[in-house]
Amino acid sequence: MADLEGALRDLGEHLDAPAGTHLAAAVRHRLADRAPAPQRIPAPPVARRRVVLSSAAAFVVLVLSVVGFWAPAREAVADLFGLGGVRFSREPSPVRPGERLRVGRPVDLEEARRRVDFPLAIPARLGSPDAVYVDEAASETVVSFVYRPRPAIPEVRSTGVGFLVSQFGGRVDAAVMTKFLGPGSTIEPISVAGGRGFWLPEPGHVVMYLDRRDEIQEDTARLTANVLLFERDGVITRLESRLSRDEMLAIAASTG
Amino acid sequence: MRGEDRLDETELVEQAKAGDLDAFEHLVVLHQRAALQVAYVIAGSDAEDAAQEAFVKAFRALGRFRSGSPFRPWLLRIVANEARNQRRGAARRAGLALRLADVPAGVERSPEEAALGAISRAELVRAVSGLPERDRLTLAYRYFAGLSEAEMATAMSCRPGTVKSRLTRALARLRQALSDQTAPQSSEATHG
Repeated sequence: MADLEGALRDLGEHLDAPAGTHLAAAVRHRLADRAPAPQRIPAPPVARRRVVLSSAAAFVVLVLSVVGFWAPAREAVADLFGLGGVRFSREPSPVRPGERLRVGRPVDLEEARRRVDFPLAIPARLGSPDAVYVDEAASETVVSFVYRPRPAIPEVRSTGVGFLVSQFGGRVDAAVMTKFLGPGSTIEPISVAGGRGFWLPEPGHVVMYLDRRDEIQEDTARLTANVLLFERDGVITRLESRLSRDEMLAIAASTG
Repeated sequence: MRGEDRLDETELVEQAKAGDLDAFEHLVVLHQRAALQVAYVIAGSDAEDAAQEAFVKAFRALGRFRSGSPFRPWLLRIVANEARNQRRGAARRAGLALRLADVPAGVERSPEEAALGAISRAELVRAVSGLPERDRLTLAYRYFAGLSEAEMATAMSCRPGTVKSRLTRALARLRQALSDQTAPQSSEATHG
């Protein structure tokens, strides 16, 4: 019980508080439409009561079921029928995961492979990514694999993302990493599948590395989560998720 | 929060004050996690409704927000009020059962949890659930939303000295609740 305060901070990260996946959109709808109050829609998302109210409402239900789970279409339909403020929640986010993470433009895996001069490595334990991005704005081209949350991979905050893997050319250096460590951050040197790596439990968000010209580069982890970073053959792989150090290590070891 | 984020936030608040919904949506994204955590410790399953209502009210009250001061404590005070409003009557008297988010299948105690020693998250969440509402809110402001004591004073509309004493009392009650939980188990182990 010595570190009760630490345990409380940890608890905050593991509470079953709502993810708020659609909170920002719902607030915006209400402010834009000046709707008086949030409308509750019990699961399944479209309330049965509405179906019998009028044929118009029945048509809304029909259209919603046709467009399925595609959120932009759902919101457009909600707007069309004056249902701004309707909250659609709890179902998995249907849009491409990671779109708001500043990870570049979405591409398919083959395109990503063409954009870098090193072999991309996908962690076997995670399987095929749900989305792939390429960011060519930085000093090194970064390829990111994004995975949706799953039962064994909790969502990171309200991002719609469970796991993020980023790969780019460069090397890690212990002195550089520790010298520029942000306040409150900790770092642990660690061996990952024969490569040199570091474990940065949250909030170790700023990551320093050396690019292939040996210039120091600063990068910010895209998720506010735990980070496992390792270098192998001149390629840095960065894993971000809410999983524990040992779980992340097992996934890193499956990156071949 | 890093310095540059704070600068960005000041700009966002100013833009939102001028009616910019994009800027306010950005503020919602920046603060929604803290808002939902604070709402959750008061309103439980009604947390999302409370947070939504609070953000809407906060936008409409932005004219009263003092430019340049920290936005989060001001916002969280509104969130806490809305959470109390959501949880009225019978539900409030029935107490609150906070829960943990799903943990990976087959993982009873993660290595990091084991490293916490005698306190498991399950024990801790039970103990926090049983605390009075004001203690839960005090702990949530400090340890879940990461407010400083000065920011807590703003959120709780009290003096910094009062924050210190409320925190001390809340932690003491939490320690007591945790020992009350473990005491009967130790006794059973001894006799069983």
